[in-house]
Amino acid sequence: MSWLTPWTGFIVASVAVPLLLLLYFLKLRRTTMTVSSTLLWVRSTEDIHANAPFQRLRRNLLLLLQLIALLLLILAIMQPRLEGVGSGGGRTVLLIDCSGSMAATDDDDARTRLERALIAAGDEVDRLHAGGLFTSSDNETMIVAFADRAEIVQPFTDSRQQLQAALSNITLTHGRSRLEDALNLARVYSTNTDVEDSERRAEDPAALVLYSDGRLQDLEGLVLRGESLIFERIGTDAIDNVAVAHIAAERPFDRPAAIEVFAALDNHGTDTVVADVQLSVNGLPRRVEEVTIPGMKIDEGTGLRQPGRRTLVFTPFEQERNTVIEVEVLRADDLAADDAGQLVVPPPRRLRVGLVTPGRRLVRRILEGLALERLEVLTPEAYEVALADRGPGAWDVLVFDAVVPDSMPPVPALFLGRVPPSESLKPYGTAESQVVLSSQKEHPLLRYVDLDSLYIDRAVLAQGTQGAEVLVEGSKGPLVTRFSDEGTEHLFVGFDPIADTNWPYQHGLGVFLFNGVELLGHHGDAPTRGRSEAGEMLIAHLPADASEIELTTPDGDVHSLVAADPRRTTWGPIERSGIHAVSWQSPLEVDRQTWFESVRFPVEVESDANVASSVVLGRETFTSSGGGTSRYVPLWPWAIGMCLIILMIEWWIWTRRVGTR
Amino acid sequence: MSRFGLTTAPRPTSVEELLPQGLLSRLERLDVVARKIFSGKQHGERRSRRRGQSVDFADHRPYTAGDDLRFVDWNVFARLDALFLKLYLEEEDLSLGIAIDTSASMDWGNPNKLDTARRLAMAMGWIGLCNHNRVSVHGFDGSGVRSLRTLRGKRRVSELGKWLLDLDPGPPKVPGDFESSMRSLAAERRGRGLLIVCSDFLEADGVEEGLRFIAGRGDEIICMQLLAPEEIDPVATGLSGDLRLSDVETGGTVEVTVTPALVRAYRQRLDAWCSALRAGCVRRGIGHLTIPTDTSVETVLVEMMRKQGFVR
Repeated sequence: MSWLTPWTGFIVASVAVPLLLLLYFLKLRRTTMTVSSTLLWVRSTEDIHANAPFQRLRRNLLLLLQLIALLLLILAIMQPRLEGVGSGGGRTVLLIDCSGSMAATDDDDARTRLERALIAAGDEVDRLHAGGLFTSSDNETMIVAFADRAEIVQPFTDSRQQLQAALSNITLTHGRSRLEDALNLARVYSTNTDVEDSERRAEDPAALVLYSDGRLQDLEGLVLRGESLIFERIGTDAIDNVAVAHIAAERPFDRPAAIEVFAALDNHGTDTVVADVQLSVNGLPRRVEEVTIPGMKIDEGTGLRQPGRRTLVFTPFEQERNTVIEVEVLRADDLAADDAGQLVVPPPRRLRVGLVTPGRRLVRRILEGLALERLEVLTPEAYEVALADRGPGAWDVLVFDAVVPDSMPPVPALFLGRVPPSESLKPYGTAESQVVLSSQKEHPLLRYVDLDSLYIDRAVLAQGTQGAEVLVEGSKGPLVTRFSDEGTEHLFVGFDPIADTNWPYQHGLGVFLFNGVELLGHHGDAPTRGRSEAGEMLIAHLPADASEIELTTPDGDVHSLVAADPRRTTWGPIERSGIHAVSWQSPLEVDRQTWFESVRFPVEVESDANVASSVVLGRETFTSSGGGTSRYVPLWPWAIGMCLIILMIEWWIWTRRVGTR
Repeated sequence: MSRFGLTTAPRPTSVEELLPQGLLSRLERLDVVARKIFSGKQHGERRSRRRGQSVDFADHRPYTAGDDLRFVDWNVFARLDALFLKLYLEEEDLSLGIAIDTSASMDWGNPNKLDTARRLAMAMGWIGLCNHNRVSVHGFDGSGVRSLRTLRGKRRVSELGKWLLDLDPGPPKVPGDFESSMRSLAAERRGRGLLIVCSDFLEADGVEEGLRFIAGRGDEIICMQLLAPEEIDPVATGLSGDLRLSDVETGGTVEVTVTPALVRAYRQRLDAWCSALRAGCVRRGIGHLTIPTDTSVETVLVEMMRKQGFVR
């Protein structure tokens, strides 16, 4: 218990108590009345005294009650409070955690932790700025909301209305809890730099009140510098939460058009949970599977929590690009924000292809028929110059049509009829009159390519070194080989398809070239794009001619964006997890184009929403009294109330004594 | 200083105020009743112990030499041949004494106890004078007994009134004053008759002894205990709070806080005091009457005293 104004109480006590005693003695000076005889009165008082063994005590009871009432009044003036903080010069900083775990609704009132934190903070504001006789007008309060980064919602002010309005503007984010920024902001703003304000010393630290569930990520290394901290713990440590901890997708080797989705589910509750998990594509449910997830285990020795995990693999399904895949746990729990995870399958990327040819037209015509971003036709000499001038980044794929470069290009390349100068490929002769003996028909290069009627008049035989893969085997040697040179994938076709085969007369050549360019151009591309995390910046790559750019958040809010860079726009920090859609209008397209970004909830740190019982900063441990209510309770209203009760008792006793009816 | 008990009612300054004219005529019909038969001094209207010359036959006795022959019953002599005298009852006057306590405690209350005693004495004296009784009035206090000479006949009523008007309160009493006053009164009083004592009888001691003295003379005694409303119900008349009560006679004080318990104890004490006085009076054949001073004289005489058989 601490006292806000102890000296005021002592001063009042030193004056009032002697005054009361003096008044009490003055009160004992009785009114003199003349009666005909005191005979009967004397005997009556003797009767009273004889019948009241505690008469002396009764006589002093009123004084005793008055003294108690006065002491209670003085107690109220001294403003006692339970577990109070140092006043910090009357400056208080309310630090409000609005990270993802504060979205948990683990209490009976269906409010989120943030809502309860805001109510508690509002009560604290009311208490600090209640006004009236017993409240110092010197109180100033600042409000800082923090998740991944801290934000001053309200600078220091003594206006209760401003503080309450600022509290009402705090919204939940799905970011991580990081206290350091908030502490730094509090320090910066609570340090007095106004030399005119002589009443407040610069070194007076503020009192910090932290409203959080205690799941703070960056406590290690943080220390307080003289500030006092009160940890108002919000939430319970018996949370029921199943989270989509991880979601990934891969294309099966044998089904490059299909997508196989993997999901990991974590159970942060202690009980085993049975839940339905739904896979949706573009918002349409596609599969539902029931899973059983074991409960969280707590190491009794170390106290470490190990959530129960269950992985789930959905059957592969054919999926085009530019779609949204969502895995959702169909079960209500305390934290809904992590019940779903999304993946975006990005739209196809158009390739920039360089064709190095001595001037032949067939391959050029075929490539011109493909949907490419750019086709650059080069002579071997022009290629060498362009490579020297622009570097290898000018092309996504190079096609060498019966020519070879001086050195192996650092971009994927398709070599037709000539052995490239690579260490990974060793020519060992030629062969004539061949047919295809075998091929890997499921390989992306050979999909829909009919090789049965292919006749090769002449071919160069080359043996691939370790890591090379023969995709088509001729009757006399390898015909198509995939090999890698210094980490770059290449394809080598051992025959000239135009001059030495009957392929130009079959439709398989065009399909083969299309597959080859796509395979090399998209080699290394993930089937899905990497996911952003709440709290990060959203960066969208757009066409240079994009206009009317809009962002739609998972909440349905629409924000207009301006592209600072012709090909890129940014927005953030991202507050909520889920799918963010960026749409724009392109002059070449009738419909608006849409680009999706999935933002993940930081499940690894925020899904375990069981509250921490204490916050450790440096060598100090701050334990919450719990309950999410104001930690220190002013006691003066109780003292006033008891004082009134004592006065009423005294009045009752006095009327009982003096009242004669 | 509080005005509790201070007399504010108008005090009598003339005989007319002591006994209003209207009341005189109503009281003329009343007579004082004495249960005992006393010997009078003069011929009166009340039967005496003596044989006399009234018309009421009392007895016969043998003739002796010297007897008045007019009272010889000749009819008896004719039958018996012996002389007998006829004896008749004598009617004499009654000695009515009224003793008023003039101590300081009587000069208190609203209405004033001494004023009430004077009015009662005036009324009783008028009744006695109307019935040809010898009326004597005494005032007693710490300084002794003051007496008015014996009056007889209606014409002396103004003398009685003036004496009563001049009857001032005496000095403060000391313990034993009542006893010594009664002793003096008993010695001073001549003849026997009816003695009415008007007092509050608020004495710590000596009351019973004093009554024993006057009762021992053979008088028939009536004690009129006068109590002011402030004494009967002090709370109703304004007594409250933390007080220092000062005795008007002795000057002694007592500090009290007027509480229900104290008031209850006081009332019990007062009742016990009055009951003890009444019991002492009954034991000695003394009549007792407790009279609140706010009771009118007519009510006292016509209702209270008639009911007790003190007047008719």
